[in-house]
Amino acid sequence: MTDFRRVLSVLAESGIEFIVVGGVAAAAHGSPRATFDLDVVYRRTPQNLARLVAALGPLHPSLRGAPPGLPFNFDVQTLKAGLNFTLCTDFGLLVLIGDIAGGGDYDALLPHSTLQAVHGASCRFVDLDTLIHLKRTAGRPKDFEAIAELELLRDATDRQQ
Amino acid sequence: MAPQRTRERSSIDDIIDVYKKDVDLGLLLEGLKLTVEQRLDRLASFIELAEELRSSVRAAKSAKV
Repeated sequence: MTDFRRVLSVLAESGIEFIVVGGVAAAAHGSPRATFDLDVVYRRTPQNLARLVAALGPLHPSLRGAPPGLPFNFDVQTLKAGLNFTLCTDFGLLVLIGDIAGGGDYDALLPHSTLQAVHGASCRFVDLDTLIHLKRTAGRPKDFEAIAELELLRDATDRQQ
Repeated sequence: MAPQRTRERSSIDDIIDVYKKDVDLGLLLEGLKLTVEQRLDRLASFIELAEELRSSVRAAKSAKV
C-alpha cells in the first residue's frame, strides 16, 4: 500500500525539488479516481540527486517488477545513468520521472506547477491544464476516461471563478 | 507547453466526449468543495480501505483452503 502522504513528507522535508504529476496530482485537483502510486518529476541537478539518494535510501527502494535478488544500487551514479525509475519503497510505489512526455524535465514543468500545503509540507503539483496535456500526450487508452473527468473538472473550476 | 484551449480537435476527442457523458458530475463538484489537503486525505482513505478489503479477501481465501 502506498502511503503517499508520508512519501511526500519525506521528499518535501528533505528539500528535494519535485513536481507531483499523475493520479495524485489529479486527486489534488479534485478527481475522485483512485491511484496506487505516486508519480513525481524530479530535478536532475547533482545536488537534488544527492538529496534523493539520502532521503529515499533508508526506504530501501527497489525496481518494481524486477526479478528478486537483482542487484540495484540506489545511488547518484544510478540516477545519473538512468532517467525514469519505477520503484517499490517501504512507503509504497514511487515513480521518479526525469523527463515526462509532453512536459519535459523539471525546469520545463516548473512554470506549470503550483505549491500546495499538504499536512505541513509544501509540495509542487502540476497545474490542471498541463496535467490534461500530459495525459493527452501519453495517449494511453486507459487515460481517456481520466482525461474526460479532468476536462470536466476544469470546466467546473472555470465556471466557479 | 500546455496547449491553448482552442487547439484543433484530435482523433481522441470523440472518444473523450463519449466518456464525458458518463462522468458523475456531482462527485466532481463535491471534490471541488474540498481543500487540496482534504482531497488527498480522501484518496488516502480509499487506498487504506482498498488494502483492508484485499487483506480480508486474502484471509478468507486462505481460510477456505
